[in-house]
Amino acid sequence: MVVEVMDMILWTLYFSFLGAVLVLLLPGRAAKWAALSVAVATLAAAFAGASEYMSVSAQAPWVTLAKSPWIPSLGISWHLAADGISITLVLLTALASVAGVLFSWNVAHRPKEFFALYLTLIGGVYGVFFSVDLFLFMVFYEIAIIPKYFLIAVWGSTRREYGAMKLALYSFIGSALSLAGILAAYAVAGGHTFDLLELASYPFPPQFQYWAFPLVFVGFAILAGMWPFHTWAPTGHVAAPTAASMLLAGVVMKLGAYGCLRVAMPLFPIGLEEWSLFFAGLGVVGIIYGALVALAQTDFKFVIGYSSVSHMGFVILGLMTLNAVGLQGAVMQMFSHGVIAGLLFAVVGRMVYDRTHTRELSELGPMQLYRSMPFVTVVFVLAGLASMGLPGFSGFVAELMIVVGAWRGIPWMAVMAGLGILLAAAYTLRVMQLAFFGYGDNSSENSHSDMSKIDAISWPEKTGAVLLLAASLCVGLRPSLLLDLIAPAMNTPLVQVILKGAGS
Amino acid sequence: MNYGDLLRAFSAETLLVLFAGVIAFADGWLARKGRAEQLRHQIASGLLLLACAGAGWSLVRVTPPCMLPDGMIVSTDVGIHLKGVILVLLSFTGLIAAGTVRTHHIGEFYILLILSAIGMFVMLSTENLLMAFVALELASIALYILAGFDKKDVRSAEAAMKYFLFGGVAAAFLLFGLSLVYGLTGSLDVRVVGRSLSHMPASPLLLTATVMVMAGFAFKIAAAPFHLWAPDAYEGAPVSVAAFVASASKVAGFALFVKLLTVGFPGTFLTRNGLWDAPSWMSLAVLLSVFSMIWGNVAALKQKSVKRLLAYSAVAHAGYMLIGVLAAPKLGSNALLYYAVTYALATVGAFGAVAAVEKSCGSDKLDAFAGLMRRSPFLAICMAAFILSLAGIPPLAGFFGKFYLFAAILKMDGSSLCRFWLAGLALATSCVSLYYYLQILKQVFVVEKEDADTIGLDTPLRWVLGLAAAGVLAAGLFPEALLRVL
Amino acid sequence: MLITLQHYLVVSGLLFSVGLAGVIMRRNLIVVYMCLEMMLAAAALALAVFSRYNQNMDGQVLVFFVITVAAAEVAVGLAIIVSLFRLCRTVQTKDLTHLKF
Repeated sequence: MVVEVMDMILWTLYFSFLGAVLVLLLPGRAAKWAALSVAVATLAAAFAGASEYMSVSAQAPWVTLAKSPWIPSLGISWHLAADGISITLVLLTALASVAGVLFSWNVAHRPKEFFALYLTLIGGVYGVFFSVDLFLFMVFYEIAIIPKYFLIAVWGSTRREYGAMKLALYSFIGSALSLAGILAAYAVAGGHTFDLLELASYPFPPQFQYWAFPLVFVGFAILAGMWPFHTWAPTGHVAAPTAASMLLAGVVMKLGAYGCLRVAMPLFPIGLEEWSLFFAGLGVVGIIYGALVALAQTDFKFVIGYSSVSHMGFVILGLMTLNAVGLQGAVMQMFSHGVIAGLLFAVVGRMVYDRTHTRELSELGPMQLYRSMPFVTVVFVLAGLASMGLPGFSGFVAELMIVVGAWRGIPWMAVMAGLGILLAAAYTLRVMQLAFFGYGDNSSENSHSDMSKIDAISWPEKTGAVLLLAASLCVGLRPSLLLDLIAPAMNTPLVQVILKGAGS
Repeated sequence: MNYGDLLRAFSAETLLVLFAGVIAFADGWLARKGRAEQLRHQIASGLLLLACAGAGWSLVRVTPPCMLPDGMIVSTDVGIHLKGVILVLLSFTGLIAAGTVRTHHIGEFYILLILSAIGMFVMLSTENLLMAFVALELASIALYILAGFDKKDVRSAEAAMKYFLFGGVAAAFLLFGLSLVYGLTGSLDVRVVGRSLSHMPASPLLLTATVMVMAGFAFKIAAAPFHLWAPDAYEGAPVSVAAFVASASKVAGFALFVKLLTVGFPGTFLTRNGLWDAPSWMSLAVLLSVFSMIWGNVAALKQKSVKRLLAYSAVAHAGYMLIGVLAAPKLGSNALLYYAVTYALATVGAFGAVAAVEKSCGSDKLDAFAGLMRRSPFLAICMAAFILSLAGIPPLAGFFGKFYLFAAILKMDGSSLCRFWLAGLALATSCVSLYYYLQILKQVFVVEKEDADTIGLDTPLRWVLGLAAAGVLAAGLFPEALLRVL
Repeated sequence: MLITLQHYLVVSGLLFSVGLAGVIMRRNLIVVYMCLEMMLAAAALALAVFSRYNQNMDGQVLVFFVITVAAAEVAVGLAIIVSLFRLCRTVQTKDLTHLKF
């Protein structure tokens, strides 16, 4: 009975793919409305599923949603399931997709294709979050690659074809690495099944795990923007149209982190233990490096792009703490960064760039945007505060948990992560100052008058911004909203494998 | 077995020959009446379709499983299903040709297509070296002529010339190798050959025979470094012929050779000790596969002509399929045949799309595809399906094909690192391939051309593209259905 | 001197090698064709010898097929040369340069 109600949440997946087809069939003018209604429907389904999960999670933290044979000769099945972690990310995807549609309300160029690709991408992402069968997982993972390429290459801005190709190749190489490891695991386990639950309970020989774990982990971590494989992220984010960079930073990077957490870590717990310190180090390097580079950027969007690298470093570090607090923090951080980065990219790409047609901080400064765009300024200040990890916003809880988790295992890394938080404050305040408040009060009058004829902020933008800000604030003020979802997931077999492996 | 049974066993082939005769008469009559070439094309391709339908029906209904002495004809279920695939590819080729081939010898074109398909039919159902050689030559010689069918175009003649020369050398190599095999074993029956070779010590003669057979094989399937004819032949030949060479001839070739090698040369498997376990054909196949994957994919990167690009990608795909050949002795040729069939489908479709573009723009360069999404959305979406399937993107068939191949090679026993390296290399090169496939799709979807006119598709071509795209998608979504019959 | 199987095989191998060398090195298409035929003839010789050695007729039957196939191949090949000659007035391999990347 319970399971039937939980099926609701699968509609996020079906709605997205059906919506993509629907958008192609409807006339171009209706495309955005159709996309919005699809996104809102998935959001409703996600909320319904999440609340249903809350009520059963105590008894059944792992809910099987669908299971039927697909390609029996290779042991591949259509096996979908959800736990607190995947539901959290589904919620995030649903929020980001609604906001993304709202922020691409002004897409007039080939809108049908835009929204069809957009919904296909979303559908692939949902599919990854539900997949338990590894073949299915990789299918959805790769389905998400091609729409990204076209979204950036057709609707993007700065060096869009380069950024799109780089992103596509990095994603594909990452998935090829993971696929190689997964296939090897399949072969070593006897070649009967691709079911993650069964493979995770297979005792792979340690010798095998030592090289298979980094293969699969790095494959996924490329998409999570782990240093030094992060270079696709800033160029991709900058080249992408607003909605695509929101999705890239908000959701697609989480795809990689989710792959690490769901596939690489439980499959090879021994290899994980062996390598955890190394990858935690890479995570810390990512935090510091991303923050330092962000501090030096002159392009507004690059600042946000590199801040994503820094924030995703926290996720990697949280995963590598191998304790419950750190893992929960990592999932929280995925949610939090998804919402905040989405908002920041929306401010930069849609609200500022579409009106001023520049992202150079040196040109934005003299415009004194806080006068002409008060709403945008307020949104950016709030989002910036959230990004810095100020109490009251989701980022605070998440980063605090990660630092606490890291402190238990590897104290000096916790210190470095704390330094990263300070640097985040530095680059956020710097960009806030440079982009919105200019160089002082003696601004020239003519630039100010230029700004007087810019378009007002439209209702979709306001709605989207309020939606994302509200999400971050809600979680920040009442972390239990999300923690009640995530905490039960720590009892599922796939997470228990990780925690036990570290304890023993 | 009496002659009645024999005729029944050969009913599909017989029907095809009869229809070839009908086409000759009908077209000759129409030509003498001085009818328009378009009408003659329509009639001939219609008859070709009818022939395919008839042959397909007789495959399903009439042909009994049979076995002639000496393995002359051994018809199996898999063979019959593959013949069905050849028929589908033949009819697609015929429909593509109907709108695009420029020639006065219209009847002859379709007759030669049919003859070539008959050669492939025999390739699929024989387990005898003599029959295999004759069938291979029947299929090839018809294709040499077809490649040079555009008599106004020097490139077509040159393509035919190169295809012929390399094909002839391949045939000589193969025949010499087969003659040595015959000398060693005293039989032309592949099963008998396999039995005697399996407990024969390695000798220089056997090694020579293996190398020669493999070389002939590599020429036929265009595996590097024996692939040099392929880019020229694909580019110069009429597009429909290139489609047929790339698809049907590849399916039949791989099916024949995997049978010959697994049954006739049961050499040693790749073992812990490494690559060079003579007289194993496998070490040679590994080398060919590695060369093909690297050379094909790297050479494709800098191509400007889409036909040449597809040719180099065909070389690369031959490398992937050789992995399937390697896995076949242990795990059956299932993975290989799935890959070959879905690859053939995607390739025929891709060449069909090239034919449509070439007809309207007179060029097959990459920039002729610019803005295809505006000019013909249907064509663009079908092209995307074919190209993405070749690149191995889910949910299209190419993804599962590659996945299955790599899973199969990894599943082979022995802890030899070689198979891991091979699978790793295959995955790495398929990342390279994504780049040039995306170059095509970039032209199709991203680049926008202001002045480009729309491309009109004639109905047969539309059907071919639609059906092939649907097939590629369906085979990717429900691979089990295809796996069950292969 | 007794002429043994080895002698025949050596001749056949030599014929094949000469043919292959000719295909690779000669510049005139007609000569290349003749060399191609020589390779097939070498294989046919080996088959005939092996047939005798193995005491069965299979090889000799195959030889007949090989001769037929070779004839068909030549017919097609010459036709291709003719069509090429009509278009570019040459039978030299070095002039086949219309297809290049």
